[in-house]
Amino acid sequence: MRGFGKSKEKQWRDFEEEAIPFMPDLFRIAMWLVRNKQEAEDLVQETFIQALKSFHRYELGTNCKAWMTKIMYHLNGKRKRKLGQMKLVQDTEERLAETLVFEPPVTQKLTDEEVIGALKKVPENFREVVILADVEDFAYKEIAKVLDVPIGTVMSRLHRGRKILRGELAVYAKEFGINLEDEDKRNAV
Amino acid sequence: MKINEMQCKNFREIADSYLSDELLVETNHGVFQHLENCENCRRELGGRREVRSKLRVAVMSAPESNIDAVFAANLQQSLEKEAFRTNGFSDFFRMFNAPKAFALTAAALIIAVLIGFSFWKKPSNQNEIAATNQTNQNEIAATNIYKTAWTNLSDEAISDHTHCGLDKYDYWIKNDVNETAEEKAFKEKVLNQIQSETAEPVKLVSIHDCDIEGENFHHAILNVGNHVVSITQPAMETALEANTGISDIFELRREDFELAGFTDGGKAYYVVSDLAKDENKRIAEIFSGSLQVRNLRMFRFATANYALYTASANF
Repeated sequence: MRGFGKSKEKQWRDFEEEAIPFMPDLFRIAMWLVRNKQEAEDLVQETFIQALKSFHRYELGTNCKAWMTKIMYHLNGKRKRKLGQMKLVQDTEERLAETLVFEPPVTQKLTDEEVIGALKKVPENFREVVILADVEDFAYKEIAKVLDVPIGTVMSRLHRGRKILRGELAVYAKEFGINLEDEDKRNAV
Repeated sequence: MKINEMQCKNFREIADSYLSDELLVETNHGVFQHLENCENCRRELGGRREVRSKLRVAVMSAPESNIDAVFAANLQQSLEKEAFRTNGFSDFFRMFNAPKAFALTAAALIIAVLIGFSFWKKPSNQNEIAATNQTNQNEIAATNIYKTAWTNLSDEAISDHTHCGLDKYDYWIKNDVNETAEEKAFKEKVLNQIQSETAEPVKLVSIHDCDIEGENFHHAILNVGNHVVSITQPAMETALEANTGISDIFELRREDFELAGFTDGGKAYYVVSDLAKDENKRIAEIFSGSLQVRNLRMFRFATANYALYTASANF
């Protein structure tokens, strides 16, 4: 049911119930988008203001978090265009396709810091899909809407993003001297 | 050995889908069989499962991911204040849940009654003054109705500008290369006039039909210097009668964009950009003037020939 034509009090109650609880989630996504606390807070504020203005267009009971994430990506896109920060995606994907051949083994001893560090090294276009799918639990269709790309592109970027993340984690494992063969020997003793 | 290697390679390709429970039942059976006999792939699967689970926990519990409680509380308070702030005309219509046509008619009737009532109360020796006042008030009332009709579709115009004009700009630059006769006429009647009034280079990028989230638009994208300008006409009709003619120019600023435009019977037209207010308005004035030229009919959905010269693009 759309919110059009309800009293202000009813609209606010619906908004408070549906949208406000996602403020921490939106902030978390914003932090990974803009990598700066002040900018993330500004982006979250803009997003909620826009969501409030457009709430009459939102279908109650549908995925409000996905709807608001789409608004946030739209606002962030505007900000980046203004600052001249938009860049082509295809170039990055083609270059990565040429270099990504070897799939390293995955270490099973991982700390939170290693995972976050590895995630930060994944290129932005792949990282955002990994976060939206594996952290924020969005469906492929919802991610496609948020990013305004075809579902096939979402699946492709997710597949590559996960692969790159595993590759970065394997680099961490090497740097700290963790090796699968050595682990097996230690476990056997 | 060769078969096992191929199977391991295949397994690695679908391991993520297996973890997401996206595989067909038969494929799952194949995975189970392979895992029974392949320790490497069992280890690989375990590692990927841990990465996924660790990823979620690590991101959610990272200190930088946590919203500041004071910021959150202040934002919620500000939003509540904003929610109860009165927003004039558009708020009036939303509150009563009236379809736009009915609401405009109701508003027109109320204004007409008020005008008639004020006229009735004048003594007979002031009829001449009253008649002039009534004409002025009628004009003001009509302008207000046209302006409301135009304002009601302004969000849609912004949506077309941002989702098509800005987000798909690269697509239109590359794809709309063959100039049609109507684009040539548009350049002669509109673009050249704009160019004559500015030192910035002015260029027509595309004229086409687009579909943004189910709403149709007739859309021209221009460059004025390094500014992207949309002239957009939503397919949605206003509530005005078809024979009301072209209105005055109306202006609005919304979401960091300047909007200027007018109504022409049941249609509304918008110039949307981040140009200065007077520059944006001037483009609307030039365009409005051009629509009164007979051979520039491209911006009318009712024209039978429009399909010949538009390029449809559904996003």
